[in-house]
Amino acid sequence: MATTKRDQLKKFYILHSWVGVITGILLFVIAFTGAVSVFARPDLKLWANESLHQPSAATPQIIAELIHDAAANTDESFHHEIHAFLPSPSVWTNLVLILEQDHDEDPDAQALWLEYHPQTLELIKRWQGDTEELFDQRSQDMSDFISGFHADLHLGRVGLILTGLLGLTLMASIATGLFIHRKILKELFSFRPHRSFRLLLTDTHKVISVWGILFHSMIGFTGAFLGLATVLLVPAAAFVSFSGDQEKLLETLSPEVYPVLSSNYADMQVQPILEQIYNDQKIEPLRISIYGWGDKNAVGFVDTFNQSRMPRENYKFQMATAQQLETSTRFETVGGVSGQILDVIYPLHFGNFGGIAVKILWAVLGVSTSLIALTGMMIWVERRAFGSEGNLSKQNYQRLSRLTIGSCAGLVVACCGLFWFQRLAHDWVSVGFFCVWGVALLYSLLRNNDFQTCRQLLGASAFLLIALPILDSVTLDKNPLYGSTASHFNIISLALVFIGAGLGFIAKKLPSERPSNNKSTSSADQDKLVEEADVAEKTDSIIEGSL
Amino acid sequence: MKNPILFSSPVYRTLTAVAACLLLSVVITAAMPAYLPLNQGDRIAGPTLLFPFIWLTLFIYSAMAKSLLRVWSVFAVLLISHLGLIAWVLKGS
Repeated sequence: MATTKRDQLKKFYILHSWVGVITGILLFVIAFTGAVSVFARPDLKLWANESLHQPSAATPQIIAELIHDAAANTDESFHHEIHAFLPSPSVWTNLVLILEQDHDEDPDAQALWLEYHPQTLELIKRWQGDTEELFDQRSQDMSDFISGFHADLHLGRVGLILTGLLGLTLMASIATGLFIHRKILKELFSFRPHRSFRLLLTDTHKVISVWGILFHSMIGFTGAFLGLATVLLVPAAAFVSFSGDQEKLLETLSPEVYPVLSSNYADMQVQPILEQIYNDQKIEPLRISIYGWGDKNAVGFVDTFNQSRMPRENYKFQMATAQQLETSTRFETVGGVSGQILDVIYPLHFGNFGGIAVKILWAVLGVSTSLIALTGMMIWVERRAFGSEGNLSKQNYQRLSRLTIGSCAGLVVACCGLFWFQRLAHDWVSVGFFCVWGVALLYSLLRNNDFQTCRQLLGASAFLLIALPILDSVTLDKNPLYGSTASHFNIISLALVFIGAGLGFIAKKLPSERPSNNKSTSSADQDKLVEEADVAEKTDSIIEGSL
Repeated sequence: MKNPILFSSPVYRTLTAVAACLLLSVVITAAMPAYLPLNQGDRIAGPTLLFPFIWLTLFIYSAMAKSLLRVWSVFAVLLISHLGLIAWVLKGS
């Protein structure tokens, strides 16, 4: 029997439903934490670290002196590479100097880590050890935790594969959704909030999906690429072109940084180089890396962030003369279209371009991606627990509903709880996050009314954010509110309270029980509402569309 | 995928859509630099950027095609031809 158009649409619908329901909760988790991660740096990092509330005392002169002192007081073998991570909410909290031996020549090469307080410039940490353990020395705060959780769920390579696969399934959901909802223009304005609960969910799902389709597609693609690039795609690309040698692939596609040394000594002009960079108001210096310290041919690279340019730019300098040689981006060497796309993938995924307006837009759209997952799950449950679809008992579908609410609303509480753990017990940020999430999930599973649970969890989230100024006044040494009212910290604090108030408003507006069970609605009215929802759904559904 | 009329062999089809698509798209990504007529950078980086679209195409095809046997046939041809290309390039190098 030939497959009819109606059967094809039904198949797309079934595929869309099952891909959505299998990945829905995880997609919510990744999308919501992604929306929070948009503000991880600089905003949340600045909020989390009191030492960043005032501008850093590290001037070009002081940084240059510290680098010269560190080089003078260490063995020459540690001068192979010298990196200075500049204190800034955009990357690292403290000023960190790293001096490395040549790890290409010596597999047992060591590195020296010197960490300075950004205000007092006091040496707060000195570590020397294997280069492979180098970045374990970096202290983590809530902003690092949440952005790391979004990237790989703190599961390492397995987590990267999971988030990458989730990007792929998001693309599959979008493609199948487009096939089943062909009247895309009509969907843009089809929102009927007062007809029935099921129709409210369906319309919300469709409207959010269609309005944000470009963003959701971009996030699916860039998320899949970023998740799978290092664990699957680079090894696959290296397999044929470089006989599996990934290092060789990266060397070929990355710019050569190490100079040919002359063995002639020269003074390193660190201060004039930093002054050149610091004097340019458009760019924010993040790191300076010096290769071949003390040699006439030594070169330095200053990694910068420019709000008006999408990819990060690297400024190359001759260290002996402070002459600027060139400016390049990370993947410029790749060339062609691919190099340009690779350069914009990361900033595009995280909204790291165009300033705060883009960040706010990205966060709102990120929350909308998570809401698509949530409403999709709720529609799936609703149609089975209270509709004609599905073979399991109503109780089984309601258990899934409780799991969904506990996981999703619980995640919101856990994210809001991060702020409290950061202030009260910053070494327990990750443990605290998972404990709060676990308790919220357990609470949801034990309760019968998931509508009420959702309201309570959102209400708790609202309280946690609204009470943050009180927490700040108790825990911070210097209350920033006494400083400039327009300071970055105060704007973040105000925004958090505002978001908390918004969550409280939503919690208040949400129904405390399933709307169709409203006591004021008679049984006949309920039947009519359900029938009306069914008819309206069918009008828009694939089945009707295929006739 | 509960409807056996719409989706033949749902278990094998699911396995094909989940595992075989991922495997095949990785193999295609690995082999594509051998025949893409582009400069070195695009030839190596291009397939990695195309990977999500290759997977998406294979996934939707494997789920939607009426005959699973045909899906397996197409996959087998793609797999063998790309593995052959990989072997040919590695032997040459």
